[in-house]
Formats: sequence, C-alpha cells, structure tokens
Amino acid sequence: MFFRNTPIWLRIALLLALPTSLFAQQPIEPLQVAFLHENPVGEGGWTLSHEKSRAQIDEYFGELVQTSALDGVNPGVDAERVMTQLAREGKQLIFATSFGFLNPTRRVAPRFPDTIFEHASGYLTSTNVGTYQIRAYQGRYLSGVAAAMVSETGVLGYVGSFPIPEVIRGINAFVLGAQSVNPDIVIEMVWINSWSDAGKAREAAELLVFNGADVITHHTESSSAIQAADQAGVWSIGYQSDRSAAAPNKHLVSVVHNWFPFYRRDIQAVLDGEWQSHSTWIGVEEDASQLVSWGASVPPEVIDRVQQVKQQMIDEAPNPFVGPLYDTQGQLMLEEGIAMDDEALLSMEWFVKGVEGQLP
Amino acid sequence: MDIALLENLLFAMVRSGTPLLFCGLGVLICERAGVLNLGQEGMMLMGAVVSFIVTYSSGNAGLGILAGTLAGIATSALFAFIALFLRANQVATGLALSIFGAGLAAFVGAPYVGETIQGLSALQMPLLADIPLLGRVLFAQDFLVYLSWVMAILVFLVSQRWRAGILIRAVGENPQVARKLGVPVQLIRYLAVFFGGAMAGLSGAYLSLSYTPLWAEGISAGRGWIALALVVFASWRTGRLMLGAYLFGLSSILHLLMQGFGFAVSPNLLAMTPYLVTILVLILLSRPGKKRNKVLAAPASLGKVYLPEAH
Repeated sequence: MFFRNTPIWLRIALLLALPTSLFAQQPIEPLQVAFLHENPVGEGGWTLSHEKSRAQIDEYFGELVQTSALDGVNPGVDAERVMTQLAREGKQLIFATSFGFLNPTRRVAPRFPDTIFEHASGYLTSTNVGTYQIRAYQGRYLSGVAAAMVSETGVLGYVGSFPIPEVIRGINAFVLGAQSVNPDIVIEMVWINSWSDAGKAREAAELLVFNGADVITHHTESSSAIQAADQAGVWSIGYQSDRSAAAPNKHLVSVVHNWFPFYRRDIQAVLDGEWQSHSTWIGVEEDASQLVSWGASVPPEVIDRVQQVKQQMIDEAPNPFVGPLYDTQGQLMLEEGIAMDDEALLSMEWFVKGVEGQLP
Repeated sequence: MDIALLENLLFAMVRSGTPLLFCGLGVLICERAGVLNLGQEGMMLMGAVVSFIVTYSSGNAGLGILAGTLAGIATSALFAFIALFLRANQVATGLALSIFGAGLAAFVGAPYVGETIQGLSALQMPLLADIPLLGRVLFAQDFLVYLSWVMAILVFLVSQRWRAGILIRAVGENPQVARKLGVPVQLIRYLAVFFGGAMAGLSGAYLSLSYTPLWAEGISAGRGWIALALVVFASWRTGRLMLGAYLFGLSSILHLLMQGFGFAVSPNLLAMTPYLVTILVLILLSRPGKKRNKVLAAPASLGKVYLPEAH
C-alpha cells in the first residue's frame, strides 16, 4: 500500500488537512435553507404554494443559497426529530411551513441558537425564531366582491375543512366582501372535516349547488369542489393555487398565496447578517395574496371593481374587518369604526352575520 | 322531502358506494379463498393513479380503466409472491403493501397533480332514465357503475351458484383437505388474489376517472379499509355486501347532507355514523342463537399460511 511506509504523524496530518483543502476550493459557501412541509406536495394547495416560491428563490439567489425540502412530515414526534436532524446537518435557516410545527419549533430552536427558525402561521417568536403569515383574507375579501357581483341567486357556497381561525377568517372576509356589494347575500357552509378527502369535497359542492348556491369556493386541498361546481354549471373560486384547469367553463378567479416576497426579503436579511426575530404578516401591498386566472366569461366590470377595491386596500384600508360587526346571533362583536387588531384576527372563532350553518 | 332531493340523495348514495362495492367484491372472493389481503388501499391507489395517467395521456378512458385494472393486478401479484409463494405472514404483507402502494402511487402521480381530465360521462338509457325517483339512479350512471353491478352478479353466481365457488370455499375452509381431494389450492388462491387486485384497481379507477376526475395523493381516503370492514359486516355474502356498500357510502356523506339541510348536529358526531352502523350490525349479527355459526361464516383458514406438508 501507498501509505504503508508513511509515518503515523504524517498520516494524521494528511487526514486533518483534507477537510480544509476541500473548503479551500469553495470560497463562497451557499446559505443552507431547509423547508419542512406537513402535507405532501402532491395534494396541491398550501404546500405547493411554498414549493413554487422555493423554486423562485433558487432562481433569484442562484449559487448564494442552497435549498432543500421535506414534505409529508408528521407534526408530532417526527417533526422534532427531523428538525433536530436538519439543524445538526448544518442548515442555517429552516422554514417550518405549517401551524402544526409550532411546538416542535419551540422545543428544537433553543438547542440550536445559531440556526434561524421561521414558523408559518404561528404566533410564538424568540431570539432565533420568527413567524410569517400571508393576509390571505384580503384576497378572500376581494373574491367575495366578485362572487356577489356574478351571483344571481344571492346564495354563495363554501366548502370548509376544519373550523380553525385561519379558515374562519377566510370565510368571514369572503362574507364581508360579498356584503359590500349585496348586503342581503347569504353564505351556505358545509364542513367536510378533512383537508384532502376529494370525494367529500365533491359531494359538499353538489349539495351547496342543490341548495341554490351559484358561486362555490373551498378551503380544501384538492380541486374536486371546483370541478363539481363547474360540472353543475355554476361559478367557482379556487383557493391556494391556480385551480382554473379544474373549471374550464365558468371559473371566476383563484385566490393564491405568493410567499416569494417574504422569502426573498428574509433570506436577504440572513445573507446580509441583519436578520432579527420578527412577526411578519404581508398582504396585497406586497402582492402576497393574489387573484389570478380570471375566467374568460367574467364580465369586465367585475374585474375592474375588484381592482379598484384592491387599490383602496393598498392605499388606505388594508383591513376589511372594521366595526360594526355582528355575529350570527346578532351580537355586536366589534364596535363601530374600530378596525380589528391582528391578535383578534389570529384567534377568530365566530362567524359574521350572513353565514348559514353552525360552527362545528 | 321532495322528489328531487330524494333522487339526488339516492344518486349520491350509489356514487359514494361504488368504490366500496368494487373493492368489497374483490376482498370477498379473496377472503373466501382464505387469503387476508390488507393491502387494499395500496392497490386502490395504484389503480387510481395509473388509470388517471393513462387516460390523461391517451385521452381514452377505456384504456385508462384497463390499465388501472392491470395495475391493481400487478400490485396484488407482489402480495401473492410474498404471501403465497414465499409464505410470509399475510397481515404483515398486506399492511406493507398498503404503505408501499400509497408511496409508489404518490411518486408516480406527482407530475400529474392539478391536471384534469374529462370525467366518464353518464350512459343514459332512453325512456328508462325518465322514470321518476329511480330512473336516474338506475339508468343514468356511467360505465363503471354498471360494471360494478355486473361484477356483483358475477361474484354472486360464482360464490353461491357455480362449482368454482365451492372450490374457492373449500380452499378457504380447509386447504389441506381440499388438496387431498385434488383441488389446486395455490392456483385458486393466486387467482383469488389477482381478482382482488383487479377489483381494487377498478375501485381506484372509479375514484380518479369518475367520482373526482383528478389525481390527488391519497385520493382513496381510507376507502380500502372501509371495504375490509364492509366484508366482515356483510359476513362474506354478496347481497349483504351490495346493501352494505351503499349504506356505508350514504353514511359517509350523511354528515354533509345533515349540514346542508340545517340540522344542528355536530359534524364530528355525524362523521362517526359509518362506524356506529358497523358496530351496531356486528352486535346484531353476533347475537347468540342457533343460526349464529351459519350467519357469521368467516372462512376457517382466513389469514393462515398454507403449508401442504402440514398433514
């Protein structure tokens, strides 16, 4: 063997020199960024919206950043193990993209003070943990305006998944948007108690159409509610990703999340060494909640009106939740002239007046 | 309740029961032959993803259905190789197949998420479809629903009327004795497993071509497991299986219907109805009495590894 006659100290020295010589070949170390998703990308929707933004990051930052993603991570014990593993592997910035990762993040982050953790749609921050969220309710509000303008029956249908604040906020914003056009409009709700059961979402949509709804929207992962609505010949509003392919005949619009503005800003801050803990909530002003793929048969005045309202939102009134607001029992929930603060928005657990169907 | 509502209800019941019926028929034959294949979910997902991809690429739904059936058979062949040829534990093999099939289907289907196809169109029978109440339910379904009825009749004939059914049952009750009588035990078990695979594949094809014409990961949403419970519920009888499939289908969407018609019942509570119904029927079926053993006729060798040398 080549090394047989080499003294032991030289062998050790060579061994030690090896890693440094490897590093020397690469003057710029790319920033290691990891993404952790709860649901598989394959289900479409939420996870897909993050993955699309990740692809934009790769393109924007090029060699400065190296990203990786893990999807289908169970938010229970799995997440804590996977996060620890990622931090040990030397990932410098970890995006945990689901609310369910709140506790794993809280437990793992203190053990790796040099790693930055970002938790989507959460509320806890610490020195190395930031949170970020999109004001998707703004897009919901705008789509409500459009829905009320095209509806002839005055009944809008909404396929819900689970009654968590995120979903309820979307429903309420949609209702307020619709009521800004037609104060008497009614929103029918059906909860399917699942994020991804495509069959149930379809049945729920058909039921809503049967009950007179002529615009259907959803807060579920698959596009089956949109598909069923289109087959039944009514308007549909897609959510989370562009669903227009599922509704070739009467797609109204899709409300999508655009995480790229936040990710770009956040990664830039880390690269510049200026990152600080934060609680970020971005909306239409940064194009984070977008309305895309207006259907070909949508009247132009609908699109114009929505554009106007959106501009108003950007310029003067970003928050559609302004009093007086009443719940379904007619109880005053927000005093006249007062805009709801972010804390109340985050913990919303009641329906505004105009929603038919109980909070399960 | 008006006629239109009732008609829609029956229609939705058949729609949501069809995947359960297909899969249940396969499980029934397979278990009659003494093989417990818990891999239904995996085979169903493989059937769903392959039939979707083939239909999407070729534009031919017939080809898609065929491919989905073959995919189901191919997945079941994996089970047959491990559990019948290598004689591994059937429960463990089936569970592994469910997990494997779900993963493979997700992997294969990843590029097709968000794509859509034209769903199977209803084949309306003139005049008959206009019969009030039952017309649309019985005579305006798509090809796969009709096929599920044909398969149900076939399975009924095979298991209750034809000689093949006696052979299948002999293999499932006591394979050693069946072998002594010259019955090709392994061959019958292979065929039963393949039939189960084909039915699970068709069930998947129905989901991704007709029920919700799209591909989403985990589109089966636990229907394979419900089908397994359904066969126990039906105590391995075709007639009861058909009834049970629609009953289970209806109860799985009952909580949506109740909400749609303004009944103030918690959807969480309503979502439990299929399971409550199962428990209730199991209690009814297992009442002590003279007919008990005949009613609860589980194949005696179900799930047991067959070793011809044992006798």
